[in-house]
Amino acid sequence: MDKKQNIIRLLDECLKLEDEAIPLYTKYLEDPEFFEDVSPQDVDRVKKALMTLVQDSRSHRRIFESLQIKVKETFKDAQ
Amino acid sequence: MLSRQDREQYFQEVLAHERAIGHKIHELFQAMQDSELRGSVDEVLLDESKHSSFSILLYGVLQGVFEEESQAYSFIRKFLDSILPGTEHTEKRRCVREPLLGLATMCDLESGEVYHVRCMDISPTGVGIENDKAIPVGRSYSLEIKLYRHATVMERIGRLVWVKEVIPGTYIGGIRFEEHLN
Repeated sequence: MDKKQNIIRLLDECLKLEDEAIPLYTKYLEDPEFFEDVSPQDVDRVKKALMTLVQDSRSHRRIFESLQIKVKETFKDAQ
Repeated sequence: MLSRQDREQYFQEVLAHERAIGHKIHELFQAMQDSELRGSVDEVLLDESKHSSFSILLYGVLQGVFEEESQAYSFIRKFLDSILPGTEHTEKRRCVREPLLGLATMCDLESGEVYHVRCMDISPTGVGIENDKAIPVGRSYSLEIKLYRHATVMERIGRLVWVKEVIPGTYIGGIRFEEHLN
């Protein structure tokens, strides 16, 4: 595969992984049953950790989208 | 009603997903560092100051994303290790493992069969691995371990002590080192 096409493919795969991450990380955030026998302190820590992952995924998604646009534009100019 | 096993299963899925993202970002970073591509990028841009700025920006941004993903994985891994029920594997470990990602090649010392696996954590006494198929337990393997954060390759001999399918199609395992080779 052309190396430039490989990068575009890898960026697509990164985007897909970040898209899959958000519903996974938020799956039980509002489910009290999920944290039923966990201490309130641990519940707080877990939720904060998962929300950090969600925020990072959103931010990284934007970065990958921008990179994809830049890479495609760069290769288009080169043709 | 959700059980403790359901909760552990869920967090294993979260960790597996984080590892998948970490490995993919590293693969992308390696592809972006290819000198041929870097040369192509530089050729397109007309302004000399934009050549180096654009390249540095790309690599810097990707490095930052990789660092954030690594930190998030490390944080949640350590935290979850502290709240998940202890297993016979964690209780028997002699050293705390650092959640560092990388790649490893395992060669069965008897059969010569080779496996290309992913590393998920490491300590002076062992390494945690991840693979899409189960690998025979109780056998000794020569190992070449390349962590993303380190330039050198570690060579060890180790015994695969346990393997577990954490989510369908994803197996994790623990290797105890037996010898240093370098």
